[in-house]
Amino acid sequence: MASLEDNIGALSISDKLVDVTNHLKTLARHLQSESIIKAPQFDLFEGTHSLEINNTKLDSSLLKLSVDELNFDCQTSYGESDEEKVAFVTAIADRLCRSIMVWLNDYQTLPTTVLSCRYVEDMMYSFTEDPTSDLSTCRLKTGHEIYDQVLVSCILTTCYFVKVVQTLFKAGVVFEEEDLNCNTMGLNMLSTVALTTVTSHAENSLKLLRNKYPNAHQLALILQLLDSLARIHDLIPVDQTDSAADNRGTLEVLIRCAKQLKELPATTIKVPNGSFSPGIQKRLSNQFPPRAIVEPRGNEYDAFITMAEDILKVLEVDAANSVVEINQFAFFFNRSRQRHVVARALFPLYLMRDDQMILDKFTFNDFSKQHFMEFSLCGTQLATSLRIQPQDSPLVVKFESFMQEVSAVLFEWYQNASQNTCRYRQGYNRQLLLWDSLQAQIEVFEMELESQGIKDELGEESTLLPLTTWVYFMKLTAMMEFVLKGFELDVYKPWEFYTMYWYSYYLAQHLENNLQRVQRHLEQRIAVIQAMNKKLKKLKAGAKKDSLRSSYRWCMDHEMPQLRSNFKYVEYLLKKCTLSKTLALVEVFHFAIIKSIGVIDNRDLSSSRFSSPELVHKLRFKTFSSIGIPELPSYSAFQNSLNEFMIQEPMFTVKFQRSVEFIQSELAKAKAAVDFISNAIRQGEDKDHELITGTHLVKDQALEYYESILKSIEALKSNTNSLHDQIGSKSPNSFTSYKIRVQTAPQACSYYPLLTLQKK
Amino acid sequence: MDLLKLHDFIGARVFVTVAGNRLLSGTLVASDCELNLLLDNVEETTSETRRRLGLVSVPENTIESIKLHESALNSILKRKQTLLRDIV
Repeated sequence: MASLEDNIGALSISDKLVDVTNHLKTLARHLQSESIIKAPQFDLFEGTHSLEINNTKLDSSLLKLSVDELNFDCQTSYGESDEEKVAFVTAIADRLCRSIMVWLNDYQTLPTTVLSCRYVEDMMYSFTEDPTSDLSTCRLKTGHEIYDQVLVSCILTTCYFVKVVQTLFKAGVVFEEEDLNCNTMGLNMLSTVALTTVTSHAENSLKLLRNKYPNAHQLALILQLLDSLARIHDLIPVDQTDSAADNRGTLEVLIRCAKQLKELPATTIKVPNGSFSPGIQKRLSNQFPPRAIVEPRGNEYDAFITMAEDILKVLEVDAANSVVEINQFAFFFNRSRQRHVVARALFPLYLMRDDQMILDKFTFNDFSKQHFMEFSLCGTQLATSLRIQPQDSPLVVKFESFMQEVSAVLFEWYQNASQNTCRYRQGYNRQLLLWDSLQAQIEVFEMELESQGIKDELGEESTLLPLTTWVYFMKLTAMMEFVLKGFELDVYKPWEFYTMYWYSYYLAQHLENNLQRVQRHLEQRIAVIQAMNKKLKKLKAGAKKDSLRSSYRWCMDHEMPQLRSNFKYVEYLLKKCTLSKTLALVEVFHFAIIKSIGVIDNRDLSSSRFSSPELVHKLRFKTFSSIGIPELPSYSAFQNSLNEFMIQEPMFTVKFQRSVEFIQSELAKAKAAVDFISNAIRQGEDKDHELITGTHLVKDQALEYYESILKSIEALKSNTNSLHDQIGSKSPNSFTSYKIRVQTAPQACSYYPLLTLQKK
Repeated sequence: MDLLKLHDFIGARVFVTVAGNRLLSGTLVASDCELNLLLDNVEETTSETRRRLGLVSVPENTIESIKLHESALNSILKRKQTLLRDIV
């Protein structure tokens, strides 16, 4: 107790302490049982996160450390001979290196992985106490170079990589706990140290190994791998002079080292006892319960390869030739498989840079404008006005101001593309209102322009409104993604399948109409330009002909290629939309068939007297209730639509047969559409193809996605056949012994689970 | 000190000695009728370390003593006396 009193002295308690134990005990006894006295601003719910003293599960002070752990000395060079020392250091470096991937891939914390290494704790503690940029406070003094130079390099490169991940994490793209745990226990991870200081330390170590320890091949490989990990820092763009292409070599080295390391036989030498320990959780400030340290499982070098390949994939976006390609890259790169957390965190930072540039190619406003140009703006009156009017004209100024607002929402979309699968849906939820509000504002702007004569007729008293059309397209796409992602995440109960798929079908219908409007505009504009050529041939030589020729040439050079490209892209979007519509419709039919035989209902039968099916339905559709267009159908509209899909007596069997035939023909059309799209993706940028998919940078991922859609089509077809066989010509009332089961076919798209009929 | 009720101590920085030669200093944010305490911004001091623990619940059966700075206690008392006088 004396030493505790000494420490109390160190707390600089100059004031006398008064013991109030007995007084407080007496006061507490007078409180009514179950009453709690608390600070007004304190939320008792927070109390559930508190660490309980003397509870072994919550109190890190109670961690029991072994004698080896207690006595471990970082300033001792373990091992008798040089060979043994090399073997020990190799084992420590190997374990440390593997710990990095255990941390990142298994959602583990730093104290149970990287920081459990005593050398890391010791060196970073010293550095935190005195953070010098020359690393003079970050050393080991065992007296042996294999520890003092080589192991130190391993620790420094590892910690520098932790700093890189911290930098990515602080950008706010990925989330604490669900994506990554970045708690460094208050240790400073080389914040003041430059990358070159660390890499030159590593280079010196590699030289030492080559010259004096030629047999330390594994150790050299590990150090090379760790060195390339630290160099990932240079992939985070800082200014326009950065070129990721120059840094790709870093990742190739990383992959090469990891491939060699995973082929090496497991080392028989173990790390020195006590060199990896949970003790840091007991020694340093810690607001978390104690946890056992996590042993590597053996697949860590494969994980390094995956991470490096995923980062390389992100860097490929640099090669995009158009905004459509960037857009499709973002849509597909993280779709079929969730990319590594480091790659996901890097993507938005790499794409949208601090210097207000997109990939060093576009300013933010130009990037947004190009989204319109590559969809609906090209060849419009507005595009012409923007080109010919002065930069300070009210039209251009207002347009640019809108582009800033568009950029803000568009960047949400791009950032969302690299989110983890659950956040992805939440991101769309957040975007819906942003797109909706943007649409409302931009529509007013375009209506004003129309009153000034800047408009593009589409026939039948309808106009294009190119800006609104694109925003509406983005909104509808976001709404559909939000709805369908819910199936992947098991958000909906089977009884909700009908409403969600019917709503999805409804949205797809609106999207299809919107895309057809754009297509009509593109066709019209292409026809106008082609007509100019015919007119030219008829005109006699003169000023009028010269003027028309010059207009025609300008249009052919500047508008026609983009118009044709836009047409092919919109054609692709239409095919994709039709696919979504068809699959949603088939799901609707399946539900209606099963409801027709009384095995499922579209209402929550467990609704209590405090709720009702209508209230539960409204809660599910709350997100959409404030969306202006398309209007959310009423509850009764949902109910009535189901009645129309259901098969009623008389002639149940005949009607059922007709439904089955209709489904099969729709699925056949969907399969043909997938084949067509996949063919276009395979052919890439072949100018002769009718579609432009913009997927040449994510060809494999896009093909994988459409392959999954194909699998869903096959699964839906097979389920249709099963329903046909099971129901056949039986009476619709004879299925009381059946139940439904939700299944997803292997490798099929998770947006389209199957409602299958099974015996109870 | 008899003037003081339990809620008067809420918000005070207290020094709680618990089993195992540990001293916890933190802000008292809540207590129940058994004198189980919730302390925030806790700093733990032992013979070996001093470290921060954040929000900590201290079961009554682990508490050896609860102390306050004399000046803090006087300040609480003074505040209470002023309050009572104003009410009267």
